Amino acid sequence: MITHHPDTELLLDYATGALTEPMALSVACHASLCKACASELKRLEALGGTLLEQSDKAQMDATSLNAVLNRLDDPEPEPLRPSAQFDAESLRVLPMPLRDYLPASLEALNWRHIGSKVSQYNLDLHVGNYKISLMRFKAGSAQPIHTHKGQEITLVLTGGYTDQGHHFEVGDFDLKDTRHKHQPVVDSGEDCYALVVMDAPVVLAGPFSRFLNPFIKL
Amino acid sequence: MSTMHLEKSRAMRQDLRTPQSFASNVVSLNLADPTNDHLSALINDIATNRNREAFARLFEHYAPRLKSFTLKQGTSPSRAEELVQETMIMVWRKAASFDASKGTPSNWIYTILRNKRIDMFRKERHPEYDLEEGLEVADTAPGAEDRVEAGQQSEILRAAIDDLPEAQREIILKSFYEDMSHGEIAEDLGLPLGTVKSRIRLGVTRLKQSLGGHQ
Ligand SMILES: [Zn+2]
Repeated sequence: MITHHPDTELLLDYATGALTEPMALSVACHASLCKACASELKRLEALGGTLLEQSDKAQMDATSLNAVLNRLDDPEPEPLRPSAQFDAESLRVLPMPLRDYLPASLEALNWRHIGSKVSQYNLDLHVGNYKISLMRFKAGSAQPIHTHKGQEITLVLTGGYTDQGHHFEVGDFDLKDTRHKHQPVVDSGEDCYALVVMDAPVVLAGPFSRFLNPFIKL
Repeated sequence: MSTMHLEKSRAMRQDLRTPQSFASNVVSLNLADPTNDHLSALINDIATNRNREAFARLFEHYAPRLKSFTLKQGTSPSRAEELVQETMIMVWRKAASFDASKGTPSNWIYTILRNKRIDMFRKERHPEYDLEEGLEVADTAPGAEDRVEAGQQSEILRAAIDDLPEAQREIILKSFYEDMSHGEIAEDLGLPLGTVKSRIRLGVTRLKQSLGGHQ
């Protein structure tokens, strides 16, 4: 069961379009797995619809309608990237919004292996200082201690982990910032896939973490 | 305002507006204030029949509102004009994805405007959520959205926004009209971030309650 949700103000920012694309992606993935937040977003978007409906009428240019009518049959632009054919495992793991950002099924991705416990695939999405990755943590592994200069969002896609006494499982939206120092321990049983969005590098905490920390290569 | 009252007033207005010149399922142009059913019919006509006349009527209803909404966000008139045109072209292309059972035409067009604005002004995409099948029915507890018909929702929300305490209304309207995140709003108003967060939470909770939610 999902117990960690984005805050209301983050959902509002999603609905108004104020989130950056990486943040919006993490919220969209969560809301694809969480009925409560999907409903909340629907309500907030309905607020936008209501404000639109209530708006005064501004004068459009006289030629506006004709200009649009003349363009209706223009060919549609090509999608940013052709949609990939995903295998059953990928369809199981990946929520719909994430699929647009991946060129192939999970097994065919160009994973970078960091030690034996972590694999990482950087999404082809470049906005500001954000790093957006798909991570695969080995079942039962303990991850190094680290803190953050900025925010880190981890959205669990399979498996789960425990961090500072909190348990996170599929669909959970785990937002950490500078106040948090953490050391996630991955559940045994199933590897943990997660979407990880960071807006600044992590800070290493333990004495040997430079060598252990999988995030150093980010 | 009670649900019953709303239903009644809606029905009465529909009676008043029943157009004699009601051609097929297309709304007559001289309807000053078409209902959601009329607007939905136009969108479906576009989706099914690629009906340009239906599109022209939808344009007439929405383009001036989209432009005014965009101008309130501080966009220049020429950019606003451009954004509205691009938005209406997306409405034409995406008409088949409109589902009247999931929301009103205005809600749907609002999201198209929002996404187009991000696309044009920020060169980013806005990833859309898509609740996974099975989850839709997994939770059988009636949610707010089940209790209130889409058609009534906007009337209720409209009244509920007016009823919000000023401090909450200001921030929520600013979010929509001024295209700012809650962090930017806090800076703009010179308020602590925590104050802005709590006003948003209180305001959104009140709006939700007005729709019949009980959380
Ligand atoms: Zn949620």
